Amino acid sequence: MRWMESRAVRLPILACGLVMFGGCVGNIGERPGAGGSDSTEPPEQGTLGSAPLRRLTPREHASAIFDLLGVDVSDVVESFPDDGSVDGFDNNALVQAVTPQHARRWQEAAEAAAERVLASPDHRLALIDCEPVGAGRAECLGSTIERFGRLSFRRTLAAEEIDALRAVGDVVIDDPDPYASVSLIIRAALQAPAFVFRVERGVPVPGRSDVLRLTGPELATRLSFTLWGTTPSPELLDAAEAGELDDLEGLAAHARVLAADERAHDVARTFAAQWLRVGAMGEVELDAELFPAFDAELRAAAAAEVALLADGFLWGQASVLGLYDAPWAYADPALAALYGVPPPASGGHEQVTIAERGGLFGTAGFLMVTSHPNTTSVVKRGKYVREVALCDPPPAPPDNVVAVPPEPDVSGLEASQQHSSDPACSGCHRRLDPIGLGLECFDAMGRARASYGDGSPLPTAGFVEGIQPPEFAGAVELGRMIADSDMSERCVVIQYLRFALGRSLEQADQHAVDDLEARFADAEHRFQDLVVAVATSDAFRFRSASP
Amino acid sequence: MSPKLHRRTVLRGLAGIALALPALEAMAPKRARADVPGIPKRFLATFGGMSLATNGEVEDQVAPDVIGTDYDCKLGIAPLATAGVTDVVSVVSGLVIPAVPVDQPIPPAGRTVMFHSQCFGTLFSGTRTEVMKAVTAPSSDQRVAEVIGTDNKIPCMAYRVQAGHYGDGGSRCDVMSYKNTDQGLTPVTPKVSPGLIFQELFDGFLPPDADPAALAAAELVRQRRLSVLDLVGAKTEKLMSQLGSADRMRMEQHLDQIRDLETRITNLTIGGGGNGAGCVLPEAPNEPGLGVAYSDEDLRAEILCDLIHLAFACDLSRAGSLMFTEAQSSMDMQFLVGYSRSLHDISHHDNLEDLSRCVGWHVKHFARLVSKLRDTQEIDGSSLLDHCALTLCFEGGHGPDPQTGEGWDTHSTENMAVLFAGGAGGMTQGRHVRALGKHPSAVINTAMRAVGVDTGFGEVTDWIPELET
Repeated sequence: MRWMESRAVRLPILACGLVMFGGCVGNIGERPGAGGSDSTEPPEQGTLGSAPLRRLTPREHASAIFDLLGVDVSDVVESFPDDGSVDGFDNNALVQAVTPQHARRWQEAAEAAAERVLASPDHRLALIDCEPVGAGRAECLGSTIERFGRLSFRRTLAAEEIDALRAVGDVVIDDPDPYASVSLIIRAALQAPAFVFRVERGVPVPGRSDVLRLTGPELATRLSFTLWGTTPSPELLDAAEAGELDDLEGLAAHARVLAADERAHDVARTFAAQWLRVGAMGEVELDAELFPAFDAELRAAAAAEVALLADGFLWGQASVLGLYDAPWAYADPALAALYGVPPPASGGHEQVTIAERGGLFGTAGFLMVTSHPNTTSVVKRGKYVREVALCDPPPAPPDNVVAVPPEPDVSGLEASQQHSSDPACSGCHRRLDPIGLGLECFDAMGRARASYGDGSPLPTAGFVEGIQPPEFAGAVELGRMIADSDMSERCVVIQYLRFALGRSLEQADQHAVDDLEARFADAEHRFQDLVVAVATSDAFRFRSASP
Repeated sequence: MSPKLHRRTVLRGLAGIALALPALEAMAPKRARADVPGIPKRFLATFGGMSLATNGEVEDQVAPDVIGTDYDCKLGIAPLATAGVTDVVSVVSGLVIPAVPVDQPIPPAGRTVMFHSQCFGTLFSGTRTEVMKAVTAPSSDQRVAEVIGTDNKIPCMAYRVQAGHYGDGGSRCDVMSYKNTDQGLTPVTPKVSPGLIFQELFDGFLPPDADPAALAAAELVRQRRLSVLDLVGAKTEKLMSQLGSADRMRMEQHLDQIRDLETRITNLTIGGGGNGAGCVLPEAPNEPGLGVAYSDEDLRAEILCDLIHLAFACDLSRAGSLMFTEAQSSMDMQFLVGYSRSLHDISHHDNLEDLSRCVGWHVKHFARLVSKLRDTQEIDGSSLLDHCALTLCFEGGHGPDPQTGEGWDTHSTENMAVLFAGGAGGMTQGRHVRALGKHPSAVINTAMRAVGVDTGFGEVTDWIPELET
């Protein structure tokens, strides 16, 4: 991933006013209509990454069923196997395994959905507004299959698909319950590959065998899952089938409407939590003897603070990069005790101003998740900053390195000195440890300290190789220099693109990252503008034609 | 698709053809067969990831001095006596896996001198082991399952007691089961979670003595599930033609899983497999927590053996493999020896007594399973164990280490021993056989022959005639 380290030359961008909805989220980020690149022109050869087949994540699975039928099956979906994550994101297509467990759990979720929707007269009526009995049975089932099948598969069904679903319904034609057929039809639709996977067939681009353009319904599906985390609404699907997403202006208009909705805000929170590793912060374990003040409540409060901090910069006119240099923290009573400020009156998290804190790197969540259970880790702190904020991850340590749990009385300074004296270590560690050294003024629990436990002095400064000027002291200065750096700007784009495309980035994505970074900068780093810019980018509208 | 013509009906028709294949058995050498017709045979291969004596030790705490019946039980196999199963468990000793230097041609089912470089090809797939090369043939459990297990809910169980790697070992040392699939020879990662294994086996199952109304309701649920899966598992050209090759492969995997689920539901005999009182629906097991070097494997071994016992008793499965500990196992044996040390480290220290107790821990759980099978009655009153063939193999033996030239070392595949239990195929039970120079896999092949699978496996065609007479 060397290419990510070198900042690419920005493309000249012509901002054009595509004001479709007055007062809506900004419109600077969209793709220019000029500059030789009109809306139907495919991307240049070699500038599209791969587009592996994506499976619904458990969260998307539950949301889709809820939006299709109005019933909540999240209790069943909770037992879906965990997919694991790549780059921190749990929606990476390449690790979405299909195991016997999956097949069984999808069956359970489909059965629960069918049972629940038919048990409630209101929900049932919303799904099927005719009586599947007597002479009208076939017609009633037929129209239900066409409507529900289209919404489940996110496209109009082929004739043989309608026939197959009808045949499943007919298996129980003799059942005294007239809705037994509907139950089987729902179950079959919700276990079908067309529901579980986001199959993208695309349409050929004349003269190009390497690229496919997504169809309207396929774009609607990408838009809805990426921005809202769920299946497209009937209205969006109608609009797509009417061709409204086929040109850039239409696509941008719909993307802006979706991006302004509270559901997009929820997905943005999910993105930020995974990007910043809030989940791991909520599972930190510290040595109870060395840190008697640490408990599950503090850990949860610390994770919640980071989510809250990020949330303030994901919406409206704020720059996302503000999460690095916000001049405040959020403290509840537990954190207030840790931070040495008076407990907030409300009992919940409240914004507080603390001289040595502010932004992500002063939060207890960050400081704890990058520590060993018994002492700070300059390596982990440096690695987090490189991976999460700068997208400049260190290579894996060589195989012959034995990770020895540190003694609590080995300071970060000593650990760093060991690394820098060994030439086999210093090459990589000089990019990591000095970042952590500048944060040694916080212990493993995130408490501010003036010296090490034995009274020896703390390192006075850290430095971040690759950023000019590299020196800093403490969390506030680090946050300011990260927020101001080009690397962090580019990194937000990279992180969001990983999340939006459901895969790690590849060499071919460099072009897309360059382009999006420029738009992100022009939009003054507003997250909603980045979302719309991605949704209207070539990487979103086209896919490479896999062999 | 016509609703009347279910794909699985077609598949069942094909299964009839497959069932005719074991007729090849008729061409096998004549041997004693005293098994009751109509009662299925069961096969289980188990494994312990350790050798049988420590560095520098000549003394063997596994192989008995007495040849034949009424053999003596030294420390390593003492649990056989404790469990009272020496009359149904045989010990085959003096076994050898031939080892040659890295640059020499490897003999059939042999290995290079690099002891841990490849853990399971030789023992369970019967193939020669090249350094850091993948296993090249299906393992014995899968070969057996192809012949006798395909109509069961779980054609082949692949389970492991050791819940984590805990350190060394890992890649290729944690899988002993390999099967042929559309994607070629595929390692079958063993399940370790008692909860998932319970679910795999007993999901949807009702024992023979269940309420008839419940049985009828379960049958209806089953039929409807099959109708749905029949549709969603269909590999339509339309679907496949939309996908590139990598995506098509993923979609095929997905459809494979749907069809596997369909097979499990099709093969599920609601109300038991016509077996005796031994088939009861167990409670869902507790899930022992995960530790950093030990996750209560002593309890896990009990639970997994109990589940395998019931899988056999209820005829939910007829074939499988159980790895007690991984090859080169890093599991902490403190619970047994009283101090913290991994199984692998104990193999390399000079405390023969503790090492033999570790061997005995594996033997204890094997003996317990054998004892439960013996005490379970089949429908005709015979013992379930009479229809089983079970083996327990260890990773190494003890003797000269051809890699280091050490005279007596734990990195040796000489003086290996394999336990054999069960009377399937009319096997002689409860004797010590010294099979000097034979391959340990010959004992596994004997177990395969006992359940009527006479194909051999990999490059192993030999067997232990003393067990068959």
